[in-house]
Amino acid sequence: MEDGAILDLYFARDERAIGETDAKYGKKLGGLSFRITQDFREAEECVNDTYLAAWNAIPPARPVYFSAYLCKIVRNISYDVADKKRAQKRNAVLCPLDGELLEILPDNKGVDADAEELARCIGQFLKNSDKTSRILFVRRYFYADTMQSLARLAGMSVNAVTVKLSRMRKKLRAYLSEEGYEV
Amino acid sequence: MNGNLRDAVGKLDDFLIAEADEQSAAEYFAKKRRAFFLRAAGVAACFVLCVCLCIPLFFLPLQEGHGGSEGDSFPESPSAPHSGVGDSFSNSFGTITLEESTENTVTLLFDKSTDDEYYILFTGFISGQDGVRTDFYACTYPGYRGKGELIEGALRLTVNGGPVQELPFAAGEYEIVVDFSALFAKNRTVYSWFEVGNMGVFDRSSVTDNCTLPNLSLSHFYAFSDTVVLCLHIDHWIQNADTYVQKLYFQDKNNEIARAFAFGRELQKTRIGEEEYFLLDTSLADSNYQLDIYLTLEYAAGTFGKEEMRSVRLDAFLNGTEQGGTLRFLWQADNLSEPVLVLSDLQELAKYGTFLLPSQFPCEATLVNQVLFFPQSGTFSVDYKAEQTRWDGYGFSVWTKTRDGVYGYENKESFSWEGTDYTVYYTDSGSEFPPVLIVYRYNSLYYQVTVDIQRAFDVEEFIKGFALSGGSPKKVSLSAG
Repeated sequence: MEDGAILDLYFARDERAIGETDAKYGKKLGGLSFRITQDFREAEECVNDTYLAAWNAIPPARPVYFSAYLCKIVRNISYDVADKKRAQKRNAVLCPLDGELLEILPDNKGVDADAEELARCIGQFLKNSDKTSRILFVRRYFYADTMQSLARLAGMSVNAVTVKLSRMRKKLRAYLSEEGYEV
Repeated sequence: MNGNLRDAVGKLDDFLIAEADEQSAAEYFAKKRRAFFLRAAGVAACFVLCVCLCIPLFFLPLQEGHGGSEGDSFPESPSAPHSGVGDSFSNSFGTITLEESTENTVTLLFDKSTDDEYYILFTGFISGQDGVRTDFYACTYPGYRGKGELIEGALRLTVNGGPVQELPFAAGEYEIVVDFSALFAKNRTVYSWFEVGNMGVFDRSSVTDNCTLPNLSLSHFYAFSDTVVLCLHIDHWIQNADTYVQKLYFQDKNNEIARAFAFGRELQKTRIGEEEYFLLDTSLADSNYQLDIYLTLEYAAGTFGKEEMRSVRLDAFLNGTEQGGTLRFLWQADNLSEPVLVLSDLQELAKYGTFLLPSQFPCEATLVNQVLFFPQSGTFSVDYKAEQTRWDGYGFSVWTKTRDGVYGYENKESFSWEGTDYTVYYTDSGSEFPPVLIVYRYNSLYYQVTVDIQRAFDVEEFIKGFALSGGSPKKVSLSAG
């Protein structure tokens, strides 16, 4: 079913909207959530919470990019769950993604940074970048893809992807520094 | 944990996220691989072809004078740039010059060398309320079939002072006046240009657009008093990320732009080398595909003298690099008197769901290039009702000219859009300078909006004011640079 039709169901408060959303995006959302939480059961709960959030938000919202909209929700929920889990020491392992992000902007230096403004800066940086780099960056740090799956997707070696992302992080660090962030 | 950066990545533009969606990304990389292989195959094929061609050419002498005489066939229409008043085309048919261009007529001087037939073709497009563009054409040659809808009998011809039904084909000197006002009577023409068969294409608006940026063009141009509105059209980056126009830097050649506005904001100046430019950040726009930016340039009051021909050049640069291009246009200052009302992005709005334009909305009658010409005096009110939370994008600017002759404006962007009515009342009776209302939008990338114009204008008042002003919509008469 097309996104427009699914959204129409939401607007009509028709509960089939959830089923259709799940049929179309369930696997993708589950995958994204699992890559963050590393737990199938929690990923499933996160996806269900995402549907509930979408149900509550639509209407009035009518997202242009429905998939991206759902992904944002599930990503936020999943990170909340993952953070809580780490806080309870049930999983003390630092997510490799966070380690990479720390290279760009150390946490203690950026505590006051406004996420919206930072997002705008990163978006600007990405728009300046070539499309391949942009996609790799977003897949890695938004969709939490592994280096292996990125390499498969892009038809590159894992090493090439790693190097490309590493260069992007350095560039982004420099860019944020220019924009006034303390890196 | 680097919560800030992680959160920020989570708040990236939806478009960036959608672009990196697994399916889109897979398609992109597959396409990239295909393109690579095709290029490789193309290079190989070219190499083989070159070898095949070079061998015989190496042994056979080149023959000169091949191809027949000039009169054997119609010369091809020159791939002429759009031209305006004063410009001419010459070839074996003769010389034709655009002598004059007014609101409803063009005057051509044709020094015709042969007895061959030719035609004059007007083409343009109409933009409907539903955002659908309809091409149309009108031609002096009855058998001509072009793109879009044919409008018959819309061109009235006068040759050497006398009305005629057909163009003269015999060799000679002719002054041809084409009255195309019927085209406007039947259509809300958004844009039009005309072509003289086998001679060349004239752009009636006479804006010389020689922009060398591949995806930037000047689509509309309006000027009134000391203010100029340019509609820049940008083919956005999704189709060609490498030419994404992210920032435009511009200044006129005399460095006389006092202030510049786009997306409802005043643009800041920035220095590149020794020059100061205004900076237009296209990321403030909300379209991912194609973009029409209404760029308003204000000149200091009195910059333009009467009867003065004014040349302004905009140098635009892609992100400040050498990939710059130039938009150049010229206009006559004494024609810059019509007040305009700009309603931008109506078509875009229509894409966002409910956007009701009541049938009595004056756009119906007077919308030209999404510009409404407003009466000299009168009262208007605009009621907006929007049902949208988390919306950060639409607003009004009511522009008026103050006593010292400088345009002042009041932004109305801070009002609530959450299901409330909003009314702008503006009374300008007797004022020397009529109001200009600009409806704009910005930063709406994230959210869908539902805008319902309940009652746009008091139509009777509008029409009455319009009639009192003795005005009719006039296009700015421009001259080619």
